[in-house]
Amino acid sequence: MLRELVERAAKGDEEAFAALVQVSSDRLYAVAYRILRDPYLAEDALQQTLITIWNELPRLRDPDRFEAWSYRVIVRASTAEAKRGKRATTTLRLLPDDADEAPGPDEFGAVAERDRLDRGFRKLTADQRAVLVLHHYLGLTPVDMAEVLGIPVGTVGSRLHYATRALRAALEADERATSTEERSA
Amino acid sequence: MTGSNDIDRMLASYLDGGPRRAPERATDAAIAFAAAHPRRRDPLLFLKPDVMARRGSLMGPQLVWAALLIVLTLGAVAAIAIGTRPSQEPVVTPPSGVTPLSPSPSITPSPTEFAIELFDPSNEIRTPITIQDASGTLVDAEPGEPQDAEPVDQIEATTDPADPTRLELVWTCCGAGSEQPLPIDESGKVWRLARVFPCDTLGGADLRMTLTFSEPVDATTLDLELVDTPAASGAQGPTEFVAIHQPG
Repeated sequence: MLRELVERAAKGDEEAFAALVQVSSDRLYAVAYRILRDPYLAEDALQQTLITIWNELPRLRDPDRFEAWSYRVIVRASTAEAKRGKRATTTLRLLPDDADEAPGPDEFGAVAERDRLDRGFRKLTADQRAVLVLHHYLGLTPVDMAEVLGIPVGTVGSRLHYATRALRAALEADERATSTEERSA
Repeated sequence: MTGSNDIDRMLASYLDGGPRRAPERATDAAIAFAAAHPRRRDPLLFLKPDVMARRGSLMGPQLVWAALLIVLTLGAVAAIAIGTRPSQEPVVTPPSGVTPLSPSPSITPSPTEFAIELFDPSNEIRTPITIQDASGTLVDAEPGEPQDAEPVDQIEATTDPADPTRLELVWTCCGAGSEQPLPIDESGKVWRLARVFPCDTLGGADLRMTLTFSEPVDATTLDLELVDTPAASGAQGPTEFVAIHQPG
């Protein structure tokens, strides 16, 4: 099914391309959002990716590799968006203010942990975030990631290692800063 | 200190949250882009590398193709250059029965007047034809081969089935040797071919002439008419005008 759509779209069939867009957009947008952590930048990256797919699809020799190639395009578009001048964005998290429904200690802890992880994740480079998303969100193996990124498997392992280490360092730095604030308060 | 397993678990949970549905604005824009930019066939597509190729891995074959293309192009250019070298005089072979007035094409440079010369080999008589086209639809005139069939004492017109803009005229060579004007009026519907009558070479080959127009001409719709008039000298009898009427 997907292969047929790819083949038809590669020949210039606009209806097939529209169907391909419907099939692929959600997963591509999800990847872009998780790399960029910004809905507007992710939307721009998705649009650019779909246009690139339309323009470059005839050069995809093996239609069965469309999914991997589309991930490659969205990762590149996302890192390009991240490196470009970014919009100033602020993520607001709304917490329930009803005392009766106030979250328990575990729930507060989960929110705090998520916020801490969010701060640490945003400190990573776009390339580091991309490998973490491909591995931890899409569940790709290093071999699959190597195909998507067009780099050797060894380089994938290296990037994954350094990205995880950078995230851990960011989390620890955040933890130290929080402890300092609590002590001084 | 956060362990590896903790990091993995936290990351998986963290990344699992977030939107999963693409905004329609982006997808609609991409589909509209595709509709506005229909893909054209790229003749050089085979020279371009696969989008999933790793850098350097597939550039070899592409470079080989490119080099081969350059070599073929250079070879073709060289062959053309050698083939068009002015080392030989062009050989012009006139038609067996009809000889143009000059070695150049039989059409005069004038855009409204075409002069050609027909040749009857059996009587060795040259007949100049001057066509004055006032309609602006005539684009070419050329002499044809003489006809071996019985001569016709009238003019006949036939549309070329392969090219409906070409019309062949056949008529008996009367008044041979004298100039025969063929005026075409401004409407392009009435043509007159004047010839001296009586004919002194009746029984000779009929002459042919092919006219090319800017638009198709259907010979079956033409109204052919013979008009007898006195000879110009007044001593040899009437002059015959052959008129072709194209109904409007």
